[in-house]
Amino acid sequence: MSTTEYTGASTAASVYVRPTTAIPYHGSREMADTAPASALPTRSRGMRDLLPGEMAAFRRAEDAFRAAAARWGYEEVRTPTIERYSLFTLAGTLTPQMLSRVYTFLDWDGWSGERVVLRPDSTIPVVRAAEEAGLPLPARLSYVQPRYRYSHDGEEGELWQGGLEYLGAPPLLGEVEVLAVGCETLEALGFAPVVRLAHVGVARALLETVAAGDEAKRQELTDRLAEEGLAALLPQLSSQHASFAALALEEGDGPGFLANLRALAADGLAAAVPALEELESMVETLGASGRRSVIALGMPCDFEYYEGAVFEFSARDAVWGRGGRYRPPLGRCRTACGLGLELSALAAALATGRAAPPPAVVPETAADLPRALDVLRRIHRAGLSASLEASAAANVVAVHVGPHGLRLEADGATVPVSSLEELISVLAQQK
Amino acid sequence: MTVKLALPTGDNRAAVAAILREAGLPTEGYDPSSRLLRAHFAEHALAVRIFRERDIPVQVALGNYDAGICSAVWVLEESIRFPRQDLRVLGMLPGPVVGVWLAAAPVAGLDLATLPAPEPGLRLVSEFPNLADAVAIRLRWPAYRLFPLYGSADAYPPEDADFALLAAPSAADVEQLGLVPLVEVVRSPLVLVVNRRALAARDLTPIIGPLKRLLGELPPGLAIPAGLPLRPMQRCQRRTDVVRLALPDGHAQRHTFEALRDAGITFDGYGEKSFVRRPRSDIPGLEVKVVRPQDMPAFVARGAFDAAVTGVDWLRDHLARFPGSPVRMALDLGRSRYKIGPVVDKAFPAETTAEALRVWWGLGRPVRIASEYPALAEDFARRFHLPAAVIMPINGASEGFVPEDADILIEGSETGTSIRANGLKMLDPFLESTNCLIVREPALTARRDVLARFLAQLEAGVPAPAGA
Repeated sequence: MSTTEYTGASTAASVYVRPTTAIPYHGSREMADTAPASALPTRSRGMRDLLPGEMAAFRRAEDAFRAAAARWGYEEVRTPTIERYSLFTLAGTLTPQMLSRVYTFLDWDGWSGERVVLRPDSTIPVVRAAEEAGLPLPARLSYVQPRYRYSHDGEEGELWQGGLEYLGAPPLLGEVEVLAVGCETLEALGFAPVVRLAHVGVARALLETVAAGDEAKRQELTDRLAEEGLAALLPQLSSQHASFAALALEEGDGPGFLANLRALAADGLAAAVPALEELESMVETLGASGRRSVIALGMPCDFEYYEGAVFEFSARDAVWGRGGRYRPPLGRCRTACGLGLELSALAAALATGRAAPPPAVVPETAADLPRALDVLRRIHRAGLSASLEASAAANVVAVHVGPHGLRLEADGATVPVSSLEELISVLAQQK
Repeated sequence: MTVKLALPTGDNRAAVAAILREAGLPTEGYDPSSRLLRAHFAEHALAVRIFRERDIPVQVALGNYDAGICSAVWVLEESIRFPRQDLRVLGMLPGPVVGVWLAAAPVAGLDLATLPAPEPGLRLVSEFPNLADAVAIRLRWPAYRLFPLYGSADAYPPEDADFALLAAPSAADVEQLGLVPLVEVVRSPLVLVVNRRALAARDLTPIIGPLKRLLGELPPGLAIPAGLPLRPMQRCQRRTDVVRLALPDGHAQRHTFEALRDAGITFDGYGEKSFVRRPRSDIPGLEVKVVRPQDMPAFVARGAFDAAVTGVDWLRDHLARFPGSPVRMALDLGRSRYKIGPVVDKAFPAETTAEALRVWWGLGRPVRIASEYPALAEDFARRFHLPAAVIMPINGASEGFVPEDADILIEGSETGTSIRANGLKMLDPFLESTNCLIVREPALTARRDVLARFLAQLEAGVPAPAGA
């Protein structure tokens, strides 16, 4: 083996070692940002692994949502992970801040200049799919799929949502139906949701008082409303409207709070009154149906996107989903109501660790394997779980399959089992 | 400890040399006439490496260099797309300031301090694609199309783009290019940019100390003035009653001129060394435009041009990235011949690619490949199963990357002189590049007769292969 010392033009010395087979070569410097090839690459930043305990919790949340949506007549759809970037710029419903956080790249036919994007939002693709397929309206559509957006903290790159799009939803009925599905989902998961309600008509009326005729200002404040909520307008408002805005930034419940707001709006903010009346109808309907709601007009909302009532589902000091009345940005449908429940967050809240392993079926010899497989088939047909194992692990119920029949091992004791029927009966009791 | 400093080649070289002199830093080998790519000044604890300006923020962000001096726009171009990169601008430096302008062709009917009313499908070309993206997003252009360029952005409006986002010192300079400046979105002075981790952990006083008194405030970011009036604009469609031909500027121009001349074709305004953007053609039905050869395959694929004279290298890089592209080579012109292959340090213990593979496979860390042909570099890494290869797209001054900043350079060389002069060697070349005429299939022009006659005439001027 020969060794060659090399310094070359580099300021740092490099050593090449030339063995007969493997040749370790370290180059002139270590890479700053890249792990060695021998290290296991970690998952991509912002993306998620769902490990067994989390996956089970995710399925719980997903199943609860799917069941609630199906009970209300929603049909499930799924849209592609990759969409055309222009779909979202054409729709004009994502703010510049959101658009600057999408995962965009050139597809294999990127020579055309058409970029694609990892779905940053599901509403626009679902509306597109319904339009492209010519689905009859009204249409009740549900979906469970992730959306992808870059976030500086790396926490929200991939977020799974359970969502509804009620295309052509009638006024009031649409809102209360969508709200009911959201509440039923959360209640099935053991939450006691409170519906926080707002209306873009209120923000829009206030915005008009400060940005009428000034498109640039309107655009800037519209973007800030999406990020900061009604508070973004406070410094701009005249004293005439400041008292209304101050009350609107409070949270209140019941028709009394809305009546106070309406009284203040009557003085120079008449454009907000229909929105407040609409909210009043919703609050009364929700209350009469046993749902808790509060008025939270200060909540951030993208009102390039929404056009009516907007809402959040709040429980355990967190928000688990959002929705509202919107005007679909494409196609025939003129109005719709939708929601998105944060299934990733719900799954994280529900995760309780890994479930206990199922009973093990253990063939004692190689000749017992066919019989063990038959036992497993019978157990599975009975709707029970069991796995095939080479040996019994501690603290796991085991069914030994041997030349002398079946033996059940549990809690440190092993007892013979006379028949498969008896075995299944015992396993069913232990489930 | 030595501080590693990245400095620009190109137009700003003289200005940066003046800054270094003013700061009392060494400038030997950094004169505009020098061809040196690196220097080490032990008494100043400084190692200097020369890059194309747009590569400097990338190299500083990677941590290959502790600090760099370049135009602010290149830092912004990098950080606006990758905000988590470890880049920190310490301040402006004295020297030339350029603006980045949104510009349109006069036929668009727009004026200074106006903007187009948003409408679907506006086309924007730029050497600053990340900045251009941010501009289009902020202006809320629906379904806009962005075409990244290597250069010559001023050539594209109005036929091949509605707008160009380009650098120019002033509005008057934009007008000199034949465009109407609409709005300046970035003011770009020279800046000192440092790696954030190096700043936090290493003593960078050999560079920060001398430059400190020259540092000004932080440069402005992307800013589009609010409240500019929105105007409807006139947009051009490509004509299909002509054949649109693209010819190259830069190094490829001389070879192209010779190929045309030998075929008896001349265009007024396209000489051996000089050109205008739109040379006049005496061939009825043939329009000519001069652009960068690197950008041609994509624009031919889109149908903006029916034919273009570019290099086989750029065509192959394009096809490696987009195998379904409708571009194909119609005629090999046989000039501007050079070999492309993996280039390594002269002392690298292998003379062939096969020998080198054992070294690269035994590295135990990613193999770093720098290239102006990123798709060819990807293809090379795939074909030879290089483990976890990291591809670094670069923009020139490429011989300086190996061995410090890259293990392999995928590079073209005509005689090998430059490679040898920089202490490098080429292993087995995998592509011989010549200049060639590329076309789109199917052609979009209705004048396929004109295209066929032009092709035949050009072919008649191609010298017979040696030995034929």
